[in-house]
Amino acid sequence: MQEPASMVQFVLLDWIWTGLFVALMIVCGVIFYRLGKRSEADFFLAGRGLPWWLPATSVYATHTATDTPMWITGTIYRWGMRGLWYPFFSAWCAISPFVSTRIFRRSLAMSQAEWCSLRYSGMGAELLRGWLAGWQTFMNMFVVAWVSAAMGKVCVYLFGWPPWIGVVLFTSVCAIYVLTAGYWGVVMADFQQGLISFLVITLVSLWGIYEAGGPTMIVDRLAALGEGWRTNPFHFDAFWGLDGNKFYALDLITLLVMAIFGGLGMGNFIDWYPEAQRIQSARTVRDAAYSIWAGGLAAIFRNSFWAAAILGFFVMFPSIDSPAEYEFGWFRLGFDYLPAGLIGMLFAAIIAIHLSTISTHLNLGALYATRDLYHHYVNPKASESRLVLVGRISTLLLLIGSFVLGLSMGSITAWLIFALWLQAAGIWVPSILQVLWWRFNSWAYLSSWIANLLMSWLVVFVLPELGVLPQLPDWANFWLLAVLVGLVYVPVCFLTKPDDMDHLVEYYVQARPAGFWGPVRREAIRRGLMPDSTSQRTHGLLHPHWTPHEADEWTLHDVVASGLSAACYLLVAVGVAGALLLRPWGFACLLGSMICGWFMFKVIDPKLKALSLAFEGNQSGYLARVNRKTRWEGEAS
Amino acid sequence: MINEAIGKILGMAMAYGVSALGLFLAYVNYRRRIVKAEKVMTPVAWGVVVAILAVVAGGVLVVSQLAEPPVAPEVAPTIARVQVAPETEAAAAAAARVDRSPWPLIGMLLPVTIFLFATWVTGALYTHFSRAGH
Repeated sequence: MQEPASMVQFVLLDWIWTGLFVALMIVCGVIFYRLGKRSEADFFLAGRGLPWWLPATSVYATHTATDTPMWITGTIYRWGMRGLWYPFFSAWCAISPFVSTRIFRRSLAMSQAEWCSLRYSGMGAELLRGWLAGWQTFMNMFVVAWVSAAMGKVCVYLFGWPPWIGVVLFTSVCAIYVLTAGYWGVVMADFQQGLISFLVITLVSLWGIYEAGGPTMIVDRLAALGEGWRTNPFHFDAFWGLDGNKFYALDLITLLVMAIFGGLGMGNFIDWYPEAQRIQSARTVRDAAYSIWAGGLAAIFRNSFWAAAILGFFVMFPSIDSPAEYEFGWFRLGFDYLPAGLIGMLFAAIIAIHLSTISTHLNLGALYATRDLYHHYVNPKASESRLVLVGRISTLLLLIGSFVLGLSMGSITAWLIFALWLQAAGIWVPSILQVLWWRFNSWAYLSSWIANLLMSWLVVFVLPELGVLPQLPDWANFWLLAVLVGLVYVPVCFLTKPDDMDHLVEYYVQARPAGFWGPVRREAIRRGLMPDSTSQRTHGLLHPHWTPHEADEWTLHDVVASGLSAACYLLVAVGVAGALLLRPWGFACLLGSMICGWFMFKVIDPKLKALSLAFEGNQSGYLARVNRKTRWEGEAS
Repeated sequence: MINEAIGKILGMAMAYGVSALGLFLAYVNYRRRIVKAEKVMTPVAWGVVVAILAVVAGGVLVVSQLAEPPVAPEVAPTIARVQVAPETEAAAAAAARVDRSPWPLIGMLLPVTIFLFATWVTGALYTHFSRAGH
């Protein structure tokens, strides 16, 4: 096959900026080598001592990969502003900071697999930990592969290079600082990369709007083309239906429910796993909460900048039929219209978003391989230096595996949607139940995982291919999978025993989960492990002073803060895009988002401060217990 | 490039393989380290599981009988070619870019500012986190 000619011609200044910024990113990671090699906790969690803004930028940077602008460009070009709802799944970061993030941070588990062995008990817990660790080790390699494949495509588009160069070159560059400094290198480089990419995305989007004639011209031309509906994020073809080429109100409802209430659970989104690492690397519960909240919100901001710019691209090129072509729309705005010098910076930003995602998943895959598979199962008595060495070897193996997979991926979008379905639909409800309901046990969760893997293949690919099911729209696939998988895990839950009460009490006292934990709570109070606060007085919403015991309890403040946070996210998504097009409702939504954000902070911050302070006092004791469990000390009976 | 269909099968085989390895390690370790026997399911539960499996197997048989024969899908190109401008056009566009910017020095000043800021941030982060206590 003849390789396409290059699209962009760099001048010397462009190459200089690209080279300098890439060198800076590598140096920024590598200089933390000394800190990264100190211990397993340093190599994978930066010593659990980061202020909120470092993991926050890392959350944002990780949510932004090379394929993200292509994916979002594709949805906006096809669906108009309502395409904003597809990437809105980042809004699980709206409620999560005040529910699942808080609970996970208190568990002190290094990984989601480890959390399973703290939350559940017995053989089921161990099987779940082993299964999840294996799955996540692979899944992170898979993510590295598909992001690398996207980079390969970008390099074909820009320079006409063979795809393997884009797949191998930049991922290898990234591996330099992941191998040397571990998570210290990842999070510090992410900070640089997050800032650079945010600035450049903003710049290119504004430039694109300017080149399209400005906001008013974009709106006018859309109206003249008979495409005025594209500026309305709430434009529906009908309330519901089964035509995958239409956008239904039920699509929006499904996406909003999935995103916003998904924040109650753990593990129901592919992004949860890297963010769990960021949560645990934050120095306090409060820092963890704000890191997730701010990082997710930055991703929502970013999406809206892209959306406004892509509408500009649409009015310039309104009749592109091929997704493979219009997916490059945002890149074209930058590479076709920016002046010399800034082109090089744009390419540096593309490399930055690539490296930030790759580095995260290389380190995270190595975390599961090292902490859960090697440390817990193969060599529980391993020294810290040995564990760091195994972390590095795992990183290298993941890198090589990702090259093999990355060179086999042709269609990025198909893989992305498949992977998201695989992760999200069938285990969405169980992932929430495991957080909120004490009776949900390890066998139920494990069965939901395995059933989901089988049924997602059946529902999405096999049965439509056999003609047993029609090709269903996304909303129908989601709910069908949720019901089918429920038919497996609900009976399994009730046919197997609840988890061991001693184990549940220990978990409850440390993590204080929300929801339906009545029997466990009563047992903990009966044993004198926590105070009985049933007669605790209630406080006003803006109560400034909390005692540690009051702050540990779930109150109306958590519900109100979660609701305000979700409203803030929603208003930002709509408001930023609307304001960039100078729509009055856009500015009104932005104002509303600021009010919601401010009020949320006032309601929840005093409580978060108090509970963080109280938890820090007990953290070293809890941490020692968690580490003893990983080493199987005191487990034999 | 590896064939995409083979890549998907390879990928899923690796996913299940690595997960199964994790399950195996977990099972072996649990049996080796935890002496106390754990009975997970009652005989009634086992009966229900067997019944469900029988129903599922029967269902699969019925579905396979009712299913239409699969239609051979049209072969699509594995990689969609991206339409690109000829090299000469790109070169001309690049040359023109230097002059067409409304702010000619922006290609120099903006990257310099961000680069210097980013370098300062790197130094500040390293200095802060290298101190004792971190």
